[in-house]
This record gives sequence, C-alpha cells and structure tokens, in this order.
Amino acid sequence: MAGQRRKRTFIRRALTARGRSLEITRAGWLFILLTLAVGFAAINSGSNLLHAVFGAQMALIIGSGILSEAMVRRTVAHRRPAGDIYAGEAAVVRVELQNLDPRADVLSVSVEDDDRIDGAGACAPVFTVRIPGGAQVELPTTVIMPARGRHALPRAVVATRFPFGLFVKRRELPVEAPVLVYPAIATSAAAEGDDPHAELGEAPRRRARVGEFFALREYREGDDLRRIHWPAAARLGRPFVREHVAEGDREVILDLAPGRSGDPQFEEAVSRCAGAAIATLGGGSTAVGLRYGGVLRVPPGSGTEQRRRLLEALATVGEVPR
Amino acid sequence: MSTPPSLGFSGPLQRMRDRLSLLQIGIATATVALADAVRPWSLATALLLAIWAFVRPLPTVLSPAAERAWTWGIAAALLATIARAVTTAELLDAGIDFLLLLVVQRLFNRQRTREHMQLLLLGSLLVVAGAVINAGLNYPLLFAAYLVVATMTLLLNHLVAEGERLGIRTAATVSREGMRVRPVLWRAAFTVAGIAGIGAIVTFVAFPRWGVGFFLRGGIARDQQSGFSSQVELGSFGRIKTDATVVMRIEPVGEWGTRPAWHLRGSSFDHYSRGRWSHAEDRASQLALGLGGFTVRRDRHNRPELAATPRSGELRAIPRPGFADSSDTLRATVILEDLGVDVLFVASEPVAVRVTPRGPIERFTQVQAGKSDEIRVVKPPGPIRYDFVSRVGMPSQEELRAVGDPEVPADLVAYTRRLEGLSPEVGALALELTAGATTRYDKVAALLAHLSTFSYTLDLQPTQRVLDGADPVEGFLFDSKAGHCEYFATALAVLGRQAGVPTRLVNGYYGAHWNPLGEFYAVRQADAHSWVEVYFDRLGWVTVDPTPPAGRVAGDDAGIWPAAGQVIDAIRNAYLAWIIDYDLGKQLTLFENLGLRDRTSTSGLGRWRRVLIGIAIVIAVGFAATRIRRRRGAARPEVAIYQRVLARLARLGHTPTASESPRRFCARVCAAEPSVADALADFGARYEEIRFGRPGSITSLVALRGCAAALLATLPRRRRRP
Repeated sequence: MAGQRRKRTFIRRALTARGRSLEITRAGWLFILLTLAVGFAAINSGSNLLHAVFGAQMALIIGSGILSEAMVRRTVAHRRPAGDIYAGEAAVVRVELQNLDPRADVLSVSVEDDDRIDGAGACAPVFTVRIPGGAQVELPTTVIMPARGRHALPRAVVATRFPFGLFVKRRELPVEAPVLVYPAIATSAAAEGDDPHAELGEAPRRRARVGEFFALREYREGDDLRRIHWPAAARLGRPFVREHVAEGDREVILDLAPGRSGDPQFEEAVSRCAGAAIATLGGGSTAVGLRYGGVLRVPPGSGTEQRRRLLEALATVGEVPR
Repeated sequence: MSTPPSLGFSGPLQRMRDRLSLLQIGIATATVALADAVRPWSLATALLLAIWAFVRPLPTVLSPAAERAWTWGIAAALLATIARAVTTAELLDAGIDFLLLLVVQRLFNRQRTREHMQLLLLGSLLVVAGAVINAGLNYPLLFAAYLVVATMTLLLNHLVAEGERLGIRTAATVSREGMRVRPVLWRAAFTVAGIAGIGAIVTFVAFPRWGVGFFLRGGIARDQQSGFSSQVELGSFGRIKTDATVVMRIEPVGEWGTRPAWHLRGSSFDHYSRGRWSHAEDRASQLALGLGGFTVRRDRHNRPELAATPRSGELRAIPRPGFADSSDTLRATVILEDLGVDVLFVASEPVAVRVTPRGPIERFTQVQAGKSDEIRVVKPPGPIRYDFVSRVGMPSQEELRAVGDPEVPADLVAYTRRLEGLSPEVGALALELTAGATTRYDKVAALLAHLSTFSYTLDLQPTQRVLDGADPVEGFLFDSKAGHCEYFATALAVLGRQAGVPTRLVNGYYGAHWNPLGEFYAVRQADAHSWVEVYFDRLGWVTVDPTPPAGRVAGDDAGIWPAAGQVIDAIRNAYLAWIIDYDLGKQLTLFENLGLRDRTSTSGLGRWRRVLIGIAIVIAVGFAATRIRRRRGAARPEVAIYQRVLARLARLGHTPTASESPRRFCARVCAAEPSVADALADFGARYEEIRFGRPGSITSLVALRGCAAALLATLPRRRRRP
C-alpha cells in the first residue's frame, strides 16, 4: 500500500511543472495501455485504419490535456470562513469560484486540498459542473482544523478530471491569509460566581449602565435620568435612554496556568477554560476575564465581544513567538 | 451478515449515459458485424440479451450470488473461447463472440461508472477489431459517429463519477446541473471528437509506414461462403445475375477500349456429374517467381510465358508458333473485393500475376497455382490488390483449323473424359452434329452453330425429363432449348467431350463498366458468366463462349440509380486505393505533392531530416515558452496582469526603477501618457490594493483584469516617433 502510494507520488512529482500537477487515473492508465497496444499493432501490421484509430486515441489524450489545462487556467478560487472555526469541529467555509474568461465556460472543476502537502486541517472538496464565462459561483463546504491558533486554511488546488476522467490536472492556488482557530470548547459548567438569578430575567439589572452598549429605547417612568441619551433626545424630540448589557453581579476571572501550545495537558486545560468561559458568559449576568500565568490577559466583561476577546486570547495562549 | 453496498444515485444524467453507452457499443459492434466477422446467431443472441439488460430495472444493491454466477460464467466462456480458437482456428470469431459476451455481462451490471468505463473499453476494442477486418466504406462513417458518441459518453460518465466521488448530495446536484448544460456538453463532445478526428487524419497521412511485422508468422486464412466456390451447380446462377454489387475494379495499364469484352476467368472445372461441376484433375499448372515481382505461369514444357521487351522493358507474353496475336498482351491493376473465395480473376489467358501487399500481414499473401490453370491466393480477409498480365489475342479461324484434330496428350485426358450419368442421346447428338467435321475447330463450330438456335433466359422451369431424374443439361438440350450461360457452357463442354474435344468449364466475369469519375472499369456481380475453354494443341486453351451475346452482359444500368451508383463506386475505389491501400509509396507521393519532399531525392532523407528538425524546434520553442509563461504566472494572477501592462509600457519606453512602487510608477507614467492617465492611476491603485492589501475578492481581480484590458486597448503599441 505504502509502496503504491510512493509510486503514485513519484509519478505525480515527475508530472509536476510549476503550479501544475498531473495525475493519471486507473482508467487513464488503461487508456494509455490500449493506445500503446494499438500503436504497436498499427506499426507492426501496417494497417492503415489502425493508424487512424491510434491517431484518434493520441489526439484524445492530447485534447484531454489541453481542455483540462484550459479549465484550471480559467478558474480562480478563494476559500473564506463563513463563521468561527473551533479546533476539531467542522466549520463552514465559502468557496468562491470565478471564471476569468468572459467568453468560454468552465466545466467540471473542483476545489480540493492539495494532498501533497501535509498541512493543518482538511477541507471537504467542492465541485461545480459549470461556471459560465466571466461568472462567479459560491459553494459552501466544511473545514476541520485540528489545532487552535493562527493557521492558514489547507492549501487548495483547482482540480479537474475533465473531459474523460483519465487524468487529474491540478493548479495550485495562492496561499490564503491565515485564520484564527478558536480552541475546542469542552463541555463545562459555568464557573463559580455565576448569578443564580440571571436566568430569571431581571430586566432593570440586565440593562444597567455598566457593560456593553445594547440599544436605545424611549424613556419610561422610573428610568434613571442619568441614562438619558441627550443627543438622541435632541435629534428625535423625545427622551431616549441607553440600555447596556449587564456586567452582572459578579466577576469571574478564569485562571489558566501557563503552558506550551501543543502539550496535550495544556490544550485540555485551554479547552476546559474556553468551555467554562462560554458557559459562564452564556448566563449573561457574570463578567468573565482571563488571567494567564498570573497576568490579566482579558479584563472582565460580558457580551459577544467579550466572548470573542476571550476566545481569541485562548486561541493564541502558549504559542511560541516566531 | 453485512448489508450489500448500494449502487448509488440514479438520475436523469445517469439514464442519458445509459442510453449513450448502449449506442456506442452498438456502433462498435456494427463495425465488426458489417465486416461479416460476427455470426448471425451470435449477433442476434447478443442483441436480444442487450435489449433485455437495457429494459429490465437495474438492481440497486449488489447481489453477491449474481456476481459469482457471472464470474463463473465468464471464466467458462473464456475457456470455451480458447478451446474454440485452438481447435477450430476461429480466433477472430471466437474473440469477437467473447467480447460480445463481456458486453452483455457489463450491460446487465452497469450501475456504476466503473462498469460504464469497461463498456467503453470493450467498445474501443471492437472498434480496433473493426479497423483490422472492416475494409468497407461504412467504417469511416461508423468511426466518426463512434468518436462523437463515445466522447459524450465519457463526458457524462466523468460527471457521474465526480458525483459518486463526492457523495450522494453532490451526485444529485451534478445530475441536475449536467442535464441543464447538455448543449454545452454536446459542444464539448463535438470539439473533442473533432480534435480526435484531426489527429486520426494527421497520423494516417503522416505517420511513417514502417510495418515491422513482429509476431506475424504465415498467412491468415479465413473461411467464407459466398459467390464463387469450388463447385458449381446448374440452376444457381439466376440470383447473381440481378446483383449490381461491384466485385472488382480494374485500372488498365495502357490503352484499353471503353467497353472491354475480356473474359475474366476465375474458377475452372474439369468434371461434370448430375448437374454439378467440380475438380477431378490433381495436376496444377506451374507458377514461378519471375520478372518484376510477378508470379509467372509456365507452359507444359516448364518454360516461362512472360518476357520483357529488350528496349522498353514492357512485359509481353511469349509468342507461340502458329498464333499471330499470341503476344498481344493486356496488363491491368485490379482491386478485388473480399468474395470469400481464394481465386484471382484474370483475363484469359493469364500469364503472370503480382499481388501488392498492404503491409506486413499481406506480405504473407501467397499466389498459388490452382487446378485447371486457376490462380489461387492465400490471403488475409479483406479486399486484395493485384496486377495481371494476360495473353488476350485470339487465334484466327485459319490458325485454329491449322491445328487439325491432333491426339490429346496423356496429361489432358481428363478433359476428354465422357461424362457420367448422361443418356446415350447426348452422345448421339454430339456425333450427329460433328459428323462432317474434320478438325477440332470445325467440331466446335458445328456445336456452336447448333447452340446458336437456343435462346437465353434466366427463367428456368425444370422439364418433365429432369423431374424424372435426367441430367439438367439433357432438359436444356432436348426440351427447353433455353437457359443461361451455365447451361450453354455445360452443353458445349459436354457435347465437345462426346465428340472427343478436350473442354473445361470456366466461371468468371465477362464485361466491365467504365466509371468516368474514378477512371476505372467496374465489374459487378451481375457480370458473372460461364464459358468454355477448348484445347487447341500448340495454341493452348482457347476461350469459346456459346452463350448468345445478349445474355453475356448485364448492361450498364444494373443499379437502381446508375449515376449514384457510379459515384458510390468511385468513392469506394478511392477509399480502397487511398485509405486501405495507403502505403509508404503513396505517402511519399503525397509529401511530394505537398512540397514536403524533394521529388528528385531518391531517399528523401534530407527533406525528412529538415522536417523533423523543424518539428523538434517548434516543440522546443513551445515548451520553453510554456515554461516561461507558467513561471511568470504561477505566483499570482494579479502579478501576471501587472507584468503584461509593464511589458507594454516598456515597449513605450517606461520601465519602473528598482525602488519604485507600482502606484508611483503609474503616477510617473501618467505625466508622460496623459491620454491614459486616469486609467493608469486607477490600475496602479487597484493593483497595489490587491497585491499588498487585504486579501482581495475574486471580483476585484476581475475588475483589475478589465482595467488592464481597457488600458492596453488605449495605450499605443509602439513608441511614437518624435
């Protein structure tokens, strides 16, 4: 098995020019063998019609190469994450495919990982039957990145087996900008300090003056006058007050012992910490911060921005600076 | 127990692929079937099974039991095929039957793309087999159709394979999208088939005909049953007389009249019994390799019958004493269709024959002497091309009379043997008719005079005498007195022998039809004819035709549409001459006509070398250009666009310095090229943004490309002169 793979890799390497690689499929090998046999028979027998058949088969091989080259040359593709990426979990990625030639169609192309490069992560291939001339199509797919941190998405190639599936032509795509992979979220209970009343919906508290800005609303009887948003009131002619996402009654500072990225125990701790942070923030009434190695890395806070800040910090903790 | 694997998604695209798979295999089978390489029962069985396989619902899961049964069945069929090929030497028939069985097996199990690829492979094997055995005009037409259909099938199969590879959801999308873009796919299929067709033509024309002939040993003989055979039965002739199929085309070397009346002899028989002619004599005539590669006949004294004229080198028949026109020679080239017989047709009296081999296989073609001066050939299937030299001069009446009535040599006694099963009435009639004749010629003339009172007809009704068990020729001689050429010839041969004249019956063709389009004489099946040869001692065998002239020829309008028939004949002749018989000689002639080869050069190697060097240079330059272009463009598409603009600006005298950014460089050039200042500034800004800014979207890349195109269209191509 390994020997077969080595042989395949060797052949592909031999058939690789800059930016292009060619792989011969099993059907392709059969077709080449048949063509060689017909060529031999034609030369051997001098049969004129066999010469014609041999010529047609050779032309099919050459035509196949020309068409597949045209398909991959015309196509550019980009992969862009459609949301957050967590280590070890499938995340949605949008693949934008563009036909650069305004006149000719692109047929049967796929965007796949370059399997010659052992990069981080794996992206599911996408395939489209046709991209009309000059048009763009967007296809969803998923990516699984195994480790947190700042990583490039798996190296992609535009591949085509067009027109006959005898050969696979691949064109390397430029390396995309790195993406931030959040740590895996371990299932965890909310950290201590969680407000047990938070789920009860105490509106006045949840809309206190501290915390992240939430929205403006019309002034109601009993509202704190200090919360009136005077510019909005002046503009709209009636009083409006600011609402804020509550910082909560308590503060929780998650403490993460220092470690080295890649160390399984440390990674597990990061994962647990991320789980706790998400669970605690999910309650809505507790401000969460992060202390790493005794240093406060993320001051306490709440809301979606705080969630992002925490996850970003956890994504990169323990990384050795390059 | 594990669940058998599902055989995948089935949608409209898969159904269309199914139909095209069947069509391509049908066309491929036709290429061998039309060459008569498939037995009717085998073809009918395969057809019925294919229809069954096609109309029955395909199972959605694999049945291990069915798979095992097929595997065992195929293994058994393979063994049977090998046994049949070894024991009956029917290698071709057995091989094609086995291929058809494999086709049927795949049609019954064609759910996945793998099986369809195998069907395509089987189809291509049948087409390759057809290329070897089908010399018909139908082959190029079928091959063209096959290229288009097989290409489309491959395209569809490829799309379905992509769907199978990427999962059932993608398979459904691909099936739907594939159907939507059918016109685009058909266009692609026609384009690829066109490329393949051009490749076929170029290879056919230009690929040197080396013909090395490895692994070829001995001739490839095939047994076929049609037309002429080693036996002739009276009464079986009428059907042939209405058949307008062209059987051979004759191109005369030198002058030949517009309506030749030569008897083209094929089979010859010396023994007649109960309405049936056959061979009895064991002795074959003498043939030996002689002048100009011709196989030359030798006379009874083992002397060659062909010589070259000293000055011109023209081939002439050796003169015979007492025969003034004996050196009147005819030379012609014949393309004979495969009639399933091993006889070459040559004008009476044949002197020499030379077969032109088309390749290493036909180099094993052997010309052999047959019985009664027949010329036989051992050859592979298909048409054959040969030259013949014949002695066509006829002795005059005086020369024939001068022979007298000599004693028949011992080795020709078989030709005077009284025929069995005839009533004494026949002998009595012969003696009565030749009673006053003193010479052999007079005897023959008396018999001809008697037969001239008979009438020619193809509408034969057996007389009461024949129904009572008499020989058919007796019914002809005494009752009906009407018949076709075989009756006339048989009657003359029979009566002659009763009168002591050595005779033999000859089957062949009489007459030919000039085709002005192809400039050849076409001989049709309807021109088949029988006549008699009479031995006149030192003058040899002389052709005597007792059939009334009206019954000898089929006429020029044997076809339904004579003009169309002539066109088809001309095309067929050109196809045989330029496609099937295309050889190194024709290749060199073509290159000479195209100016690719020096006509005066004997070897042509100098010009060939130049052509090859030219091709090598073109390939090398193309390869280098591709490498350079790829190296430039491999990095990023926007860099390639920028480099194109830079190249044009460099031609106008603007090159960036090492420390100049693209935006700065564009700004500098704007001052020098005010007409494109805005476009250039826009291009520079866009390029920098894509190249060095945040990762750009595809839309911005397309915009940069458009911007570059507009800029290049506006910029002058060369620097303006001051």
